[in-house]
Amino acid sequence: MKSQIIRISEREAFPLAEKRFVETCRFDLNKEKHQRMMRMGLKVRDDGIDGIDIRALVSFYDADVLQDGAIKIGGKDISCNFFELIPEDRVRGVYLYMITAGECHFSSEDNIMDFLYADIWGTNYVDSGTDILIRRLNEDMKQRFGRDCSYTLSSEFGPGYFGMPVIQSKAFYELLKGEEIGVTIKESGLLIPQKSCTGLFFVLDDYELDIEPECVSCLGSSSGCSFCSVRTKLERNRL
Amino acid sequence: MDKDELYLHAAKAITDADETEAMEILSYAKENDFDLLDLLLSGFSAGNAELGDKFDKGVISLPELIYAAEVMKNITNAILEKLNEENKAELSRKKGTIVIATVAGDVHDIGKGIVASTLRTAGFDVIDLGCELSVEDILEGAKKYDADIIGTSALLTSTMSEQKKLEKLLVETESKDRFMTMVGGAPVTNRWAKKIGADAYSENALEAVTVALKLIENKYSKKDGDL
Repeated sequence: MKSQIIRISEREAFPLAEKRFVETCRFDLNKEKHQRMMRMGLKVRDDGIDGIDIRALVSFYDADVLQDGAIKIGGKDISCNFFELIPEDRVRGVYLYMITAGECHFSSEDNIMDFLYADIWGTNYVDSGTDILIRRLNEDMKQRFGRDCSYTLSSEFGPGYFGMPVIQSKAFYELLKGEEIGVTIKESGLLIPQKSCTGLFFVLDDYELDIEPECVSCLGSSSGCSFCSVRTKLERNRL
Repeated sequence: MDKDELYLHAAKAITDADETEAMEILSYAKENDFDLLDLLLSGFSAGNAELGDKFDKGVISLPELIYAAEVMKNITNAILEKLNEENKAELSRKKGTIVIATVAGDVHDIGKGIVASTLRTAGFDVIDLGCELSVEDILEGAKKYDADIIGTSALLTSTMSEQKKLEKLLVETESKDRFMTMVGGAPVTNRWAKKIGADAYSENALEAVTVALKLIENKYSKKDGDL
C-alpha cells in the first residue's frame, strides 16, 4: 500500500510543543529563575528552528493483517507479546505510521544547556506532531468508516514500547518507505534524525484495551518479562 | 556581612542559578579578605549539594540542575583565577581521567554529554570520544588518554551488546586491570553491568559522579595496598 505523506507545520505544532516544553522542564513561570530559563529555552528554539521539519508517513490496512497475535504485511511480521491480548474480532483496521521532527539545531555540544534544550524541543516537537497526527487519523477514520461509527484508535504501539524490540523498526521503515520523509535507519534499528519514531494504531470497535503501565515502558525481550510470564501462567490455568 | 551570612548567600546564588549574584559575592569576599577556597568549598558547594539532593528527591528537573551546575562551573573557574598557586594546585588537581563514548550503532549523545559535563564539574578530566564508536576505538582512546575509567552509553536494547563486547575485548587484550568500566543508558541496569563484567553502573549523571569517585578511591586504595 502506498503510504501517505503528511506535513505538519511548525506553526501548528508550536503551541503544543511549548506546553510540553514547560511541562518537561517543570517550570513554574511565576518564578523568576524559571522565567529566565524559559527565555533561554525559547532562544535556543528560535536559533535552531530551521532544523525543525515535521513530516509523517501513514498507511492504513484492513483488519485481516492481524493474524495470531502478529501483524503480517508483505511478508513482514510485526509483533509483540501484548498483541495476544487484543481480540481480533474487535479490530477494524491498522494504521502504520512514522514521524520525524528533524532536528532543533544548537550551537555546540560544549554548551550543555543549549544542547539539552535543543534535545527537549526536538522531543516535544515529535510528540506534538504525533498528537496532531492522531487528530488527523481520527478524522480519516470518520471518513473511512462513517461519522457515526463508534470506532476508536488504540494507544500507540511501536519499537521500544509494549515489549516490541527496537529492531522491528526495520519492518516499519521498509513498509512505509521511511526515506520518503528523509528518515534513514541504522543496522541497530535506530531511526535518524533521532527525533523520529514509528509505530501503529489499531482501529477498535467499541473496545478499550486494558493496558498496564509496565507494558507501555517494556523494552522487550525474547522471553517476555516476568509480568508476561505471570500473565501467561494465569491464562494457562484458566484453560 | 559575616562569614556565615556570606556563605548562605553563596549557597543561595547557586540554588537560584544566579551567576550575577554569585560573581558579586565573590567580589565582596575578595575585597574583604575572605578565604576564597573555603568560600567555594563550604559556601557555593553547599548550594550545589542542596540542588543534587533536591534532584535525587525529584524536587527539581534536569534542566534546573544543569543550569545551576553551569553557574557552579563558572564561579569555580572565576575563583580558580584568583587563588594563589598552592590553593590553585589543590583545586585543579584532577580526581581521575575518564573517557566516555556512545557505543557503535547508537548516536544518542545528550545523556553522555550531561554525564561528561557533571563529571567535569566534579573535578574529573573527561574526554568525550564521541558517538558510534567501535569497541576497538574506545579502547584506543582509553590508552591514548591513559584513562582510569571507560564510560559507555547505550540507549537501545539493540546496541547494549557493544558494552559486553568491550568487556570481552578488555579481557582479551589483558587491559581489564588497567581500565575500570562504567555503563549507562536507558535500557542498562545494574544487573546488566554485573552480567557483562562492567565495574559499575550509574542511573544518572549525579550518580555517575558518586560511582566514579568510588571507583577511583578503590583503585588507589588497592594500589596502596599492593605496596
